[in-house]
Amino acid sequence: MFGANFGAIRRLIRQNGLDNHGSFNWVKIADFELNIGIELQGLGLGMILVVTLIGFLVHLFSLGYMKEDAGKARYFSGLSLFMFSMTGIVFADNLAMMFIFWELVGVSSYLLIGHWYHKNTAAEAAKKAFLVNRIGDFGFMIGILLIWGSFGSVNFVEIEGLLRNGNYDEGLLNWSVFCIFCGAIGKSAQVPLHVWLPDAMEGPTPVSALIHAATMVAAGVFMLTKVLFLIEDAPTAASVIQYVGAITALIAALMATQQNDIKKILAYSTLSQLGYMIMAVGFAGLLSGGEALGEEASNAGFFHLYTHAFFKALLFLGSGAIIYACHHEQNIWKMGGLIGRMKVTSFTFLIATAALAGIYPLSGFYSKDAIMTIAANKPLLLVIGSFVAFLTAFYMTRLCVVVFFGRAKSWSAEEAKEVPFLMLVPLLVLTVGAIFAGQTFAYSWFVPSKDIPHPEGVVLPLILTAIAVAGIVAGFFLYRGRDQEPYPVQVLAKKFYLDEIYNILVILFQDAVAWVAKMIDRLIIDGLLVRGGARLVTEIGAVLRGMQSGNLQGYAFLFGVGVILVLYIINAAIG
Amino acid sequence: MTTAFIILLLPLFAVAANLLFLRKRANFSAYISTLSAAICLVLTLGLSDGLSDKTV
Amino acid sequence: MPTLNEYLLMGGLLFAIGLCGVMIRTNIIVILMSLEMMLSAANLTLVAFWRFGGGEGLPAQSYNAQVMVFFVITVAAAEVAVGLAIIVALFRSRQTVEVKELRSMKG
Repeated sequence: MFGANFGAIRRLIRQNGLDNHGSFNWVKIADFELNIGIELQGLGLGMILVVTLIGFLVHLFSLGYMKEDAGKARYFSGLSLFMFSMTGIVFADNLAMMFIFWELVGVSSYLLIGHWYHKNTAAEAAKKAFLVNRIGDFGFMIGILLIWGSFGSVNFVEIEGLLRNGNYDEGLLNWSVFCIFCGAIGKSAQVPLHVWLPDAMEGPTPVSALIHAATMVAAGVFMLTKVLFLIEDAPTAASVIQYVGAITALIAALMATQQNDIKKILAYSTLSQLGYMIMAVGFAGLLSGGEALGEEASNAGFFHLYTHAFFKALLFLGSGAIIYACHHEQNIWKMGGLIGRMKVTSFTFLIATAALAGIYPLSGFYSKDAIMTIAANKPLLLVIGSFVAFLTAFYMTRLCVVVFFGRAKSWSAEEAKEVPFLMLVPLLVLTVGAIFAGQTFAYSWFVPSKDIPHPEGVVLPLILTAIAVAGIVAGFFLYRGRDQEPYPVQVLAKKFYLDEIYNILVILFQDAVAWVAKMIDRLIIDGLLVRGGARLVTEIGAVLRGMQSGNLQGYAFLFGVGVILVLYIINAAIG
Repeated sequence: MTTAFIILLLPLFAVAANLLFLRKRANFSAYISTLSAAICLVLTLGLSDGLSDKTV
Repeated sequence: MPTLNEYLLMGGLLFAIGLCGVMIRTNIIVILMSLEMMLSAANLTLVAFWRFGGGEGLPAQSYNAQVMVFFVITVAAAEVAVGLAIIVALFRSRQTVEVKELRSMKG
């Protein structure tokens, strides 16, 4: 029955005529035009599916998760605002429009992270996310201006056309791409602006699933695939992109191995997977044997984005269910033995874990293969990528072993019971996605199937599977039956002290700026302008006061002297 | 194009409805948002089908 | 018959006396009188210039100077009326007409 309805809707849409591009003029100043336009083709189709599908499931999940919340209306308004902004990013046919919606997702992310604003940490995290994103967005804006300056257009199609004519300065293009990439660094939380994402986990868990795992943070990757033609011609910026992605993937995975908060682990895992995607897209500009990988690379990155959206949203929603069941306990060392109490949730979570680790034939296996095939063009990055794959399997196994097996380590875990059916539906749907999304039929049903790179032969997939299995085995045996972290590594648990370093840097910088501002205020504004002016008037007044004797004849005398002076001056001037 | 614009603007209308009319009825706002998301999803599914027909 | 110079000398003398009175005397009524004297000096000078304005010891053709003198006399009369009224009012409020005691304008 559902299928029949579906067909009807399809027919309806087809009859009304479907045009994949259209725009109207929004701003027109001299020769500068700004359009609000829609461009929907290629990867955009996959992205819009990810957005609306995950978005809908998260709405559904939220109905259960936020049932008792006082700010429910505010929360759902935020979700809808996010859906609007994210759709805008996907649809945008020019950089300026994309930037507007880019900021809008930032705002909705801010609103949703700070949903429980009375909690100090949540308010702080929201602020941090917004400010850190601003840094990246500033670069993005400069990038857009550079592009506009060198091509005179911000429309993707037009820029591509102009670029194909070959009339551009390569150095400038490199800088433009780098600046645009700054936007992706901020939004997709790459090193060194990754610090906001783990903190953003203060928001409600469904929000983390939607915004901080599946869609918004992937917007950076999506944006890079949109400006692929620029990256192809900017080899220097492209290698920056690759290495930033690889470094993010590596250090985020390292940090994930030592976190104790279930959502934080998933957050770092997201960071590291985003690093993968960015790295793959960066290969678009690699000239291997005089050939750019181009679309192949971005397809690999996007493919991973697409599969990752399913299993990571599933992981987050699963963790949301666990947190909900455990009375808002988030520390994994206070859970345990949940597999017996929450059968469905545990099952879906384990499937998603396997998908993330890259186990055949789940979706993650295919997308990881695609990325590694691309990364194989630079051995160093291939090694980093493989190591990250090992770490991924390792920390996810650690999480699962501690949370689902062993004995319950607190009363909240003992009392946990399966979540309501409404919340299970999204989990099950996403499980189907996590299993099948990697298959070609599922992907090409949506995205007009382009060449997703597949490894040649079975060597690479076998090695990757072996690495994943090794990670799982290591994680299983190291953490089986433990009640607390057996191998604490401070530097990883403290996230390489990056937050602290940033704090110090920010404080130093802020103090310096404050000192300069204070000096300017004290000396120039206060001393010279405000008090200086007042003092000048006082001094002149003191001199002139002497003339105000109150003596009538004195006045008459001065008046006479004045008249004589004026007469003399006039005479001198004329004479 | 029209469909795409509907997908784009529907959530915005949901926000407006939530904020303006239904502030006092939290459940309603939740349902409206969810409904808008559902409609967007259905439209998207139709959208892709139409497009891939064209492009293939 | 006196010459122009003698008239001018007389006018100047009157003006100087009036100026001295304004500058030196402290009684406001005397100052007012001195002012009137200075006006008279100016009038005298004007009339004198008219009388010898025609050249060859003859008076000038037009009567502009005479008219002006009449104006000055009229205005001076009005000024004296107003001035004295102000002085009366001043005396009522301050019980003095000595300018040395009227120093409230001192800064």
